[in-house]
Amino acid sequence: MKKGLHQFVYAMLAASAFFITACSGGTDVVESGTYEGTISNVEPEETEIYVETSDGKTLELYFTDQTQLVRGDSTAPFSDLVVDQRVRVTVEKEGKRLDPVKVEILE
Amino acid sequence: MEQLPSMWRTELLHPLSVHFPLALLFTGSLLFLFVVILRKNRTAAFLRPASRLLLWLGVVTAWIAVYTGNQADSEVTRSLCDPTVLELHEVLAYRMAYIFSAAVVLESLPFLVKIKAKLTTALTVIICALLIAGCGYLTYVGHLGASLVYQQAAGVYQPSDNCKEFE
Repeated sequence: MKKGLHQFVYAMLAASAFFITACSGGTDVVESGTYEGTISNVEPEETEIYVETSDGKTLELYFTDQTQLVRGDSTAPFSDLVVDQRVRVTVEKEGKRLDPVKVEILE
Repeated sequence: MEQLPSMWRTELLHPLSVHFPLALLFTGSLLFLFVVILRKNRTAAFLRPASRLLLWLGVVTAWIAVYTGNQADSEVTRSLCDPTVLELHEVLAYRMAYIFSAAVVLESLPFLVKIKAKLTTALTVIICALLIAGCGYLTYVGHLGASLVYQQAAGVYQPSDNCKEFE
């Protein structure tokens, strides 16, 4: 039983260290405004993109019926968005939800 | 007049499925830890196969819960005031499912390949660590799920003021 307890204690310590250091993730919230960044993920079924800003924040943006997607002066389809693309996004913060008002493809 | 929504809508398959991994993985982990602590006690020998069965069932139902969670995500996320909670819930749910999957595969390893006695001890410690960490994730993921429902009404139908749809 003593050996079993030792194993349990070692496991407990390892699990605690792992849990405390790894229990993070998710996305960030920013104030309403315009931000530039790079697309890190595109979810076409959800019409959703993840944008990494230059200061290391990850913005999760679900397109709404009002979201404008433009490239230059013309409107672009959602399928034009790809990973690693530079974009400028104008977001409106509602609670802690970021509604994209305008997404401009920069390249 | 507003119609009362069905109880079989997509977002409600998630709460239907999440309670199986919660019960199975907690109980399976607890039994495995008892087996390790009471290793010399022969009367506790039946706990090992019992914990293995519960953990395997728990892992299968955990992946089903992840799948139904992804389905529910599509339905509710635009109505949330703080979708970052949903994102964290999703990220940690995947980690939890991977951790328990690794634990059950390692636990079943001695049935597939011959393992030396010294390695068996190390393997037991690793499995215990994975199960304890997995239970920590399971608790926190469950807490985040509860927060989505009880603080943000994720997937919850709000009845009209006069309750006409119930007539």
